[in-house]
Amino acid sequence: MQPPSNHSNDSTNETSRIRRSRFGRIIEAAGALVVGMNTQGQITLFNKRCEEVTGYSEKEVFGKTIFPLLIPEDERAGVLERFQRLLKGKLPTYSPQFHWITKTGEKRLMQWNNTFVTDEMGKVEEIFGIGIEITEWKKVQQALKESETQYQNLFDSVPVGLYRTTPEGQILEINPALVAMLGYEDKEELIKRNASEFYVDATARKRWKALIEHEEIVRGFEVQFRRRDGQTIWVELNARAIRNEKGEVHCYEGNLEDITKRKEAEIALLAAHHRSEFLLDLMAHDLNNINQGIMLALELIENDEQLPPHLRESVRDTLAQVERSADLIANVKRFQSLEIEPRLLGSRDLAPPFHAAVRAVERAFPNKQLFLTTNIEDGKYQISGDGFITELFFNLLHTSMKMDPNEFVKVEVQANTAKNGVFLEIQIMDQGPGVPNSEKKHIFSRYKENLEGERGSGVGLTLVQRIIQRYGGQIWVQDRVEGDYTQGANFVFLLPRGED
Amino acid sequence: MVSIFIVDDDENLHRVYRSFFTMKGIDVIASAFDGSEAVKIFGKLNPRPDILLMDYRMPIKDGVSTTKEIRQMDPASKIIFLSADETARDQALKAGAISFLIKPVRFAHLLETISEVLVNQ
Repeated sequence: MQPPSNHSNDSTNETSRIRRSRFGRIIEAAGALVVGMNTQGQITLFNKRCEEVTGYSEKEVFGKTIFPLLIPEDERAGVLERFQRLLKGKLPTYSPQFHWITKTGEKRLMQWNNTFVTDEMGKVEEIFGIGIEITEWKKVQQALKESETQYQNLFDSVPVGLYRTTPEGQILEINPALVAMLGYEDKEELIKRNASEFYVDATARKRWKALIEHEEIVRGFEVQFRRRDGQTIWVELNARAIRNEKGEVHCYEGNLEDITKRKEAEIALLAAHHRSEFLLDLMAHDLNNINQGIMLALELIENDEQLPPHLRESVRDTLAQVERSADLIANVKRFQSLEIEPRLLGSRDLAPPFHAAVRAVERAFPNKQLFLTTNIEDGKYQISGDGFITELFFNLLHTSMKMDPNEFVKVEVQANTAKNGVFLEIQIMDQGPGVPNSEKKHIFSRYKENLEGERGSGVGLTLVQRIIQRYGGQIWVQDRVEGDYTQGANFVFLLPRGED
Repeated sequence: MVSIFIVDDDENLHRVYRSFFTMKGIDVIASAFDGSEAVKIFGKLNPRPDILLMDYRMPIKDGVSTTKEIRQMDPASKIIFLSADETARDQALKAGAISFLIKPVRFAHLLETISEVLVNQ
């Protein structure tokens, strides 16, 4: 093929002929760029893909020297040097990458493979470049590389231990934090070990494996590990199983956190809790035994017919104080139970626990009489609750009985289904001294109550609020007669309704 | 006359119980300060007491074990459990106690319970 001297009709016809030929149709069908050049670097062939990528038509570029037209200046020397080598019949052993500049001045990266056509004497006549555009691929590759670098940096710098192990315990990957956590010099030393060796309890890894293979993901698995120096630490394992195409577990990958300090704190807290529970129990038991002795002794004195009236009054006051102390102990114990006992709520009839509370309150105030009016009847109202319902009513009724200075204490208890139908609204209305507005907000607060030393037996109303919160209800206090708190208090609370 | 057997490790309580019961015409026919002593004394008592007043926490043998043994010896025995430990209620009733009262209890309430137990027998 002769190099075109200029852009002539003949050369255009030659191009059209090539395009129509069998070889030409393959060139056009190929997704690759195909460019032909003579020995001067003048373009002799510029396929459709070349036109699409550069924005030039073959007509525009035909016969023009490729280097100043398409090769960026900074890469031109290198490309020319390779071109010279090709002219000498030396094919490169690699696929060079360099940019082309499009008609609009945009740089596009190409990867090239070259070949040449020689004459009968073996002299190179024409050079062909077959290229693919790799601009996007290169960007993706660069992004991938950056992402891998970022991942590796994160893997290496994150303060929790990261790992990948096979089901057999071979360590595939481990980060520096885990190396340090287990007390090893470097990753290489640690990676030779088997993961099962770190478990203080050998059966723990078996349990963990069974769990992860069944659940796929295991979170918060707490176990003791043995460090290189023999010291044991508590760790929390979070991991997932990675499966191959056959669905078999290929490896486990996850993280591991040293929770030794937390665990030690938990153990210490538990021990302290048990100790306080024991002491509370002991104190409650012994104090109530003492209270029993004092109470009976005071009752003996009270029963003495020859006791002067003013002393009888003092004895009764002291008896009330002993009962108050017993109530306080009982409430502290109930607080403890509220925290310990699981919340298992079920539908139950409101009447039995209510009446049990009424009986208990009547017994607690032998020198007072309760006049109760209520619409609570057996089987009439069902609520969702547990064994603390009696405590709830007991403490509220106890407060009303205690606060009312009269011997005859009138209390009205009304239950009604709340507007939304979800809750039962219960009102306990007394005719005691009432609750001033300034106290209404704080009356259920244990500390405020203690400071003021007014309603309740120390923690009684706080206990009431806790029980109602346990059931997902609400409590507040309002005036029995709106706007006049001195007419008595109305404790209103909502309890979730049970099934009728 | 109603007879009663007091089982409690608190000496002071024994004294006040006795004073009260005597005042109310109830005969305290025996006293024990631990469960083991209670079982021994109960075995020898003839006639049996109408009521046993049983504490829970006592040295050597607690009230629940004592109740079980006494009930085995005499299934008709009427044991009123009296404890400062509310958590013992279920165990006490399961062991055979007929009633469970929480300390401190007013004497009037104690008498009321004794009457109910005797009326129901």
